[in-house]
Amino acid sequence: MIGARLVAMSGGLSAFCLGLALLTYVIPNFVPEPSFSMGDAPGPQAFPRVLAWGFIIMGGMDAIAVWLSGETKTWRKPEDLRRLALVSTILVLSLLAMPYVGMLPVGVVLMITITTLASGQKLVASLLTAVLFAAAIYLIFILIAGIPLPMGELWD
Amino acid sequence: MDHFALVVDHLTQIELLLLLPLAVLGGMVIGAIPGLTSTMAVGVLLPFTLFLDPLTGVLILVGIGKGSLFGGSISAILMNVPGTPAAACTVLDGYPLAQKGQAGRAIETALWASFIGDLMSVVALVLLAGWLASFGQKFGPKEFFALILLSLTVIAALSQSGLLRGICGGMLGLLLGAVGLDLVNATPRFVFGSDDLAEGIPFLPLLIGLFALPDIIEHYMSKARELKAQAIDRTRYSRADFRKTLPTILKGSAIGITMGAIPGIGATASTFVSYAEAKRSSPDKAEFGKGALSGVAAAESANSGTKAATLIPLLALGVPGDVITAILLGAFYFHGLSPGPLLFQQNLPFIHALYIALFVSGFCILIFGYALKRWMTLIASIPRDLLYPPIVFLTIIGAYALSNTMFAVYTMFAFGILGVVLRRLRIPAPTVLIGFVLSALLEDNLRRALLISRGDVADLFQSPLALGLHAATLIVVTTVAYRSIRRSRIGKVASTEAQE
Repeated sequence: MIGARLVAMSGGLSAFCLGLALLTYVIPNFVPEPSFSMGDAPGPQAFPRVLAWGFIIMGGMDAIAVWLSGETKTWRKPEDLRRLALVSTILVLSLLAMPYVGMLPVGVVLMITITTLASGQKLVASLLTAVLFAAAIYLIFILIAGIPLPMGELWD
Repeated sequence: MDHFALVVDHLTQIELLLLLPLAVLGGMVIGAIPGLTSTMAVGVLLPFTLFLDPLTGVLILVGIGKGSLFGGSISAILMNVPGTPAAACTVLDGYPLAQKGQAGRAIETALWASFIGDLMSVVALVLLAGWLASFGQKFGPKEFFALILLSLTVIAALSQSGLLRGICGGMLGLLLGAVGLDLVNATPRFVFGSDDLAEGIPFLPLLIGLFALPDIIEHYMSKARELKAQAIDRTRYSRADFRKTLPTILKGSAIGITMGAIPGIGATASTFVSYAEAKRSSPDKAEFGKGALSGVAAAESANSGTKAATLIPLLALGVPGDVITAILLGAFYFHGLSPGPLLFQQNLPFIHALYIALFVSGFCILIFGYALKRWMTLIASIPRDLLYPPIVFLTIIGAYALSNTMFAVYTMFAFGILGVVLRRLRIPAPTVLIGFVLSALLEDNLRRALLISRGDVADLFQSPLALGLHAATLIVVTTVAYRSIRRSRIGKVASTEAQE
């Protein structure tokens, strides 16, 4: 029960934690104040600091409001999360492979893999869609518009 | 060249003449397929419009948005699923009409309501935008700061996730917009040693990542089933139907225009107001929800009425009212144009050409609507499982094409994951995008105002206009907070009574 309530509060809690992290670590370390003064005008840290306090106040209020309302929420089913992991893995591997193998070959494999593995469509339909689409991209981008797509270091 | 010749020059470009009708047609097809949103389409296609003339580029995006608003009604009527959120009310009477074998009549009603709503909306844009822009010339940094703050607050307050999460989303956008070199001191902020981040987070990968990828990832997560569409029949929208529904269409269009011109409200909310008003004022109240033509007409005229009206604050003051106009603002910036009073002073032929092309695009909806009618069942039934993989590939190419770096592609993917996380946390992504687009403008005006007042914060409230805008912000926050507290108390009492 408490777990479900914490899940419902996750939006507010995340904003609250983001605000705290910004104030205590991120802004002091990654937004340097300039060595020269601009008079009374606010420096580069001022705007992010206002936002950080905003996250703490609004996030905190949201978390409290959800807690008081007794709202509960559950995470996705494990099967959904497995599918998310599968699609994300396919995407990450494709993005990593693109500079080495080239955008078009990886694109074709990406389209076929997603259609067949993630959605269970027939291989022939996905193969046809992928090849036709990649051919259209090649025609429009490389032959007509002259926009170079990464051809892949592997083939150099 | 005189003014008229410049307008004609803008309008007679071959790219525009070819691509505007195609954009409207494409928008209608996209809107008709459940799961493909106009935001996704506009986001994915934006990179490819940046190589075109500014007017053509902007109008393609507007054309897709307009076409998809009508397209959304097709799946609402044929499949009981709104193709776009703005068609949610069209389902209520459109689908029952289709079940009664009157799908053709319902679609033609939606078509005429969309056409008239759109035309009235463009008329309102022509009449009001110039006037608002001349009023906007009175705005200094503190007034602009107050206006942007008010717009962000209204947008956050009206988001479905509630005021607090809406504000958190807006602030996240503002924070992301602060990444890169500081506007005044050129100090690097949140760049984490990356040269790529020194120029700030690129707009396009953020946009595509937040609005195209999460829909696709969610689709594969939940493995949504494909839907079956009703067949199109030969029933028509007669002259008697037109006479009967015209008052509703005019009223719905007026509601759409009014609500569209206010940043943050948008098409979806206006359709509910218009539908409720049509039902309230109808002598056949019992017919609503069972297949009333006036129900379809009210919803469709209102959502199309908002479209050009959302351009009023965008063109006149540079303030976007919804996601599509936020994307358009980005497109304007990419083309080296800054919407606001200056645009009316320096690029009036562009503005007038835009108005004329908007009128023309309305007629495109009517023509293509009739031409596509017999194919609508087929279009609405295209399986998303086959469409999404090419869209994923197109997002990758779109992100890459503009900067020719893989950094943009990785950034897009990171924002795709952020988009999914934001949905889980119920933080609205549209407020993030609008905050991001307005971040530099908000901070710049705030710091300029404080520089002029030598750091005196009280000076931000000392002009009557700024004070009025801040008061409006306060009223919005107080009203929404009061309503949500009241609603949660009523909900608690109801659940306690139910338990007893």
